[in-house]
Amino acid sequence: MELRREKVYLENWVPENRRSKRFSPSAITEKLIPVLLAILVLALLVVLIIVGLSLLGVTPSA
Amino acid sequence: MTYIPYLSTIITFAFVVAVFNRYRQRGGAHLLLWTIGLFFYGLGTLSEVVLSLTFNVFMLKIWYLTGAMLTAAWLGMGSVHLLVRKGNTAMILTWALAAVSVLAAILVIIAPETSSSYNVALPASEQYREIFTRSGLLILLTILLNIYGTLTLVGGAIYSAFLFWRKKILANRLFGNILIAAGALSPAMGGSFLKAGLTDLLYLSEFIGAILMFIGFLMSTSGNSEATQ
Repeated sequence: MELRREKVYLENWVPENRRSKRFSPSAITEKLIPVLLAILVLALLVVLIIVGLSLLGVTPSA
Repeated sequence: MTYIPYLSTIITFAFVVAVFNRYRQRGGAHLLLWTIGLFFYGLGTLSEVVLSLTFNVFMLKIWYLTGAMLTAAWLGMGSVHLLVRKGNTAMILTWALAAVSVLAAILVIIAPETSSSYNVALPASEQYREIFTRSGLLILLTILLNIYGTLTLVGGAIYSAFLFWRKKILANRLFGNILIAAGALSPAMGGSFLKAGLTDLLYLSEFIGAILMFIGFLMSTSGNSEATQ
């Protein structure tokens, strides 16, 4: 189910003639990208938590 | 610090032109909605420029409406159109956002002015609360629009980057989406700092956000998907 959704998404987002443009990550990139994505998710959660707290009136200013 | 909004405005309107040109070439509701969102971004930073020269309560309200309320939500709406292709969900959400935006504009316009003691040397973000009173509904809408916009824009970019990484295709779009996510998070974090009562870095965060998102967009649309090594 998840894979089918990804396939549909990629078909929408990436033209067919470009879908084959694969890349081989370097050793550094192999480690760096998951860390970067994890940091971004964490930062997103922090922002959403602060905004959520301001909704509850906990932060100094909404 | 007052020169930062000038730079942000120039970069943002160049970004608006780039996205709109792509929309004219390729079509796609997501590009049109990103153009609208970026136009609001630019209006927000442009009003910061005007407010650094002279005070006008209408301009302050435009700053609040576009910068604090509408930008993130309309940019996020573009991402929703890109990600949700099934049925009319994205279109229904767009009309709902349009209705909420009109309501937000009315609430901001009728918000009573409580003071006119504005210092042009200080950022608008430090003073707007003392200049006009925001109703409970207005504050609630601001927060909900920001949650929706941040979640869809940043979440959408992270999700896209994750997919390109997992499939190991189109490195330019992988890195472009990472930059877009980081750029979108920048003003969101600046706003969160304000909410948490910490240092006011909103102007700087908007500048960094505009640069990162623009570079990310250019990378994603460069058409050059060479291997990273």
